[in-house]
Amino acid sequence: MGNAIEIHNLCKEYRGFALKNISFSVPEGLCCGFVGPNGAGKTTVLKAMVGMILRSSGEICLLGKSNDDVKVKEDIGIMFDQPYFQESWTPLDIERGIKLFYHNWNGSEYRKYLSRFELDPKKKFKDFSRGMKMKLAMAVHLSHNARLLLLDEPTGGLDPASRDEFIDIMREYLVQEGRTILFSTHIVSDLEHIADLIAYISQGSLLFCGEKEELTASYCMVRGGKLPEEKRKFAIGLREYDSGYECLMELAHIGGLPLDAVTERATIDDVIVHMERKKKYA
Amino acid sequence: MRIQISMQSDIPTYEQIKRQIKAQILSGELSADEPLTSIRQLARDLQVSIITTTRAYGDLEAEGLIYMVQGRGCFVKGDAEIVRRQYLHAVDEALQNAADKGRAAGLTLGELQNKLEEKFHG
Repeated sequence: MGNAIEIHNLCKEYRGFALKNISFSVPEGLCCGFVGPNGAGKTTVLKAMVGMILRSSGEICLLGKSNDDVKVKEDIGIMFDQPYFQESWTPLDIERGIKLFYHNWNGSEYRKYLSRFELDPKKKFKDFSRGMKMKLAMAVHLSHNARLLLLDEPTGGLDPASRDEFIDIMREYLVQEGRTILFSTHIVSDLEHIADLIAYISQGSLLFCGEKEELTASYCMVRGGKLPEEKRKFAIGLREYDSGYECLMELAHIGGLPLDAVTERATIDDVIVHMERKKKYA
Repeated sequence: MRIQISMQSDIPTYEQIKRQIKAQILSGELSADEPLTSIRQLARDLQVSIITTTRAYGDLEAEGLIYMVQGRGCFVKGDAEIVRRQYLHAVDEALQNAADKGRAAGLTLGELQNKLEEKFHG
């Protein structure tokens, strides 16, 4: 099993913001959740991957080919915040417009998905709801048999039911071997139910990329009355208030805490929230 | 194949999946060479990651309970060892049952052992 995504030392400099030496890979067939606060650089990485912005330096390989290779794009499905379709086009116009670019476009498959997702083929794109637009974009990617999906916050702005429906479409997509997804999200339940791996980026740097469980396994949440002075340096994102304190700590350092301290397993949210708080007040 | 997982459980998800499939193989509910739901389909059905189901199946394969055929999927193993383990499993269950009923009927351990001996030499 090779890597569907391989990024080496990706750098991109803007005034006031830079991606710094981003390197990570996603094995073929897995689903990777891309997390980090707003403005961390997630969209910039995704855009650099598909050549929508030019990188300052570094290498990006998708499906075993350099991302500069035009051919590789036929096998990739990209979706940013909103699908880029002409507002006044109907799903049928969209098919006519884009099937030229995909040699393995499957029209009957497309119509099958339109009816399954209950998308009116004659309705204009701008008149669809956000959830419908996202499903339409998925119908397009499924119909050209994309092997790699790059989705930027596909579940953002969806109500819980539509989100669940969309995640299930992603799951269904993954059932076939050799298909890979990288998707950014702020919603931890998305990660819990579908992601194999997590890539965590903050202020333009990659802080972690690995199996989902690994991110949380080495930390725990600590709450207590008073944090001893010698433990302060291990507290991540410490929050102190009149009646006590709360922080994230590496498992290795929790020995020797006072008996009143409560420790519990950290969730993905706990890790991200406290890491970010640490940066802010460091 | 029936699997119910609990997200709240302290037992890791892959372990829950593994235990339930194992129990169904050892009880004979899943028979030899029966195809199992594919790793990727099961991940979808249970709403868990693919790594989770891959790990559960990998463990079952390592324990000699299932085998994988490239491109065709996973199947329940049907060799002698499996049959023997099924028998052992059935023996355990029957003995547990005998112990429970014997205790309920007021038998001592010695009396129960005698009964077993009689049956064994039957």
